[in-house]
Amino acid sequence: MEIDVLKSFNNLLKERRIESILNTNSYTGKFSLQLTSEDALKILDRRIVTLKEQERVDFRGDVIDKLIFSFCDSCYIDQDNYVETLIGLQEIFYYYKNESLDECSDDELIKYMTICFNGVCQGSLENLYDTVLENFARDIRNRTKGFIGRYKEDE
Amino acid sequence: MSDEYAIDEIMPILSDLVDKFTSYDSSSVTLKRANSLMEAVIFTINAFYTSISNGTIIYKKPSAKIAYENGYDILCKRVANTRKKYNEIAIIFDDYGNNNYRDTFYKGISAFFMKYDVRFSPCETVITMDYPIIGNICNNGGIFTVEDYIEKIGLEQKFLSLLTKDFIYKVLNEYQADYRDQFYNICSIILRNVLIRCITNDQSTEIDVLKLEIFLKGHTITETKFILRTVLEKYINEKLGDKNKLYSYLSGDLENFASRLYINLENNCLDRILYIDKGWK
Repeated sequence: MEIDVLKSFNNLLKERRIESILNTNSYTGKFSLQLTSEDALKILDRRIVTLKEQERVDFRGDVIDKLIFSFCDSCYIDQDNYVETLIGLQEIFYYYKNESLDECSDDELIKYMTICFNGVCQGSLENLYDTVLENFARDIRNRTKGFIGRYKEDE
Repeated sequence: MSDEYAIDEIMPILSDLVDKFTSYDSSSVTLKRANSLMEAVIFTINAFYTSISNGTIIYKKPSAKIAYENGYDILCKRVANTRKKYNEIAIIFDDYGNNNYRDTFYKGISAFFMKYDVRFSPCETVITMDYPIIGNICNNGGIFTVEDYIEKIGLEQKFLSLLTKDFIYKVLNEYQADYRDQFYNICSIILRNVLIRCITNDQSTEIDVLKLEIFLKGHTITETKFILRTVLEKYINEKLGDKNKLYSYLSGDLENFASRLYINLENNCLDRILYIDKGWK
């Protein structure tokens, strides 16, 4: 019973999040980036699909707001690729939350993603997803006690 | 119970719990983790309603949030009381040489108190409780199960303390030379020997197997079960006064014991379940 309820919880938040996403326009306007209600809906629909794919439940749903504020000043994002980039970043974010075994916080991951996206990746989501964050997640897994094999040290 | 609340009422509690779990660092958790936290919420609310059914009177159905918070307090108190009970038993605890009994009591149960997490996984029993007790353990999970387990170990200790250590060691050694390394209930072995001595009136001399055989042949299995119950009740009353809990715990073994007696009678090996010696009191 619980699993189904939890999955549906991701949908429940959708209505509440649209307004919050549209509110970011007042800040992103100075970077010539704007989202319409349709864009917000599209992003949130993809969010539900991503969460389902990654088997995660998001209780606050403010990750997209954080991604918008963190990436809006990137020179690699313009109005034409804004929505698709946000959707891509959102997918990468949830994927690497799992891959890093939840050992890094939302803010840490977003900050690292932003630095790499604007730096070494030069705006390439593929590079960010396939190479840079892969190394980042592997590094985290090797350091955490939750990673298989680490308990041997304690024995 | 938690079923009485709509999911809309439960979700904010779960959301708060997730925030606490992630220390507000992460807005999302894996489905598996969310599910286990949901179980924690439901378990805690149910703990509140269990305490109500045990006597607390409420005049108005509380909100899910209040039920959860009260449930959490109840669980914390329960852990504290159980720990107190455990410490009391630990003073008088004797493993009678059985390693599994000692390890389960001293290492296993103390590990439970160290690792039990009332907030995030109250329904986890944490330990395996390898030493088997008579009958079934309460299957409510978490502290309820461990509390029941500790209480039953306390009852066993109370019963065993009525007998001399010498007698207990002799019975156990006779039952199985390496009983120290075995994973069975030692109280049950002693209880059976005590009861047989009572029903055959062999109080200070050796058990006469022939006498027991005549007794069993003269009674049906149902009659024997009844007699065993009566004898046990009388024995406990004589030694301790009216002790319902001890009686109801130990009587859980009588069904098996009676069946075992008749099986051994059929196979002509009654002596296999008894230790025959004098001076058992």
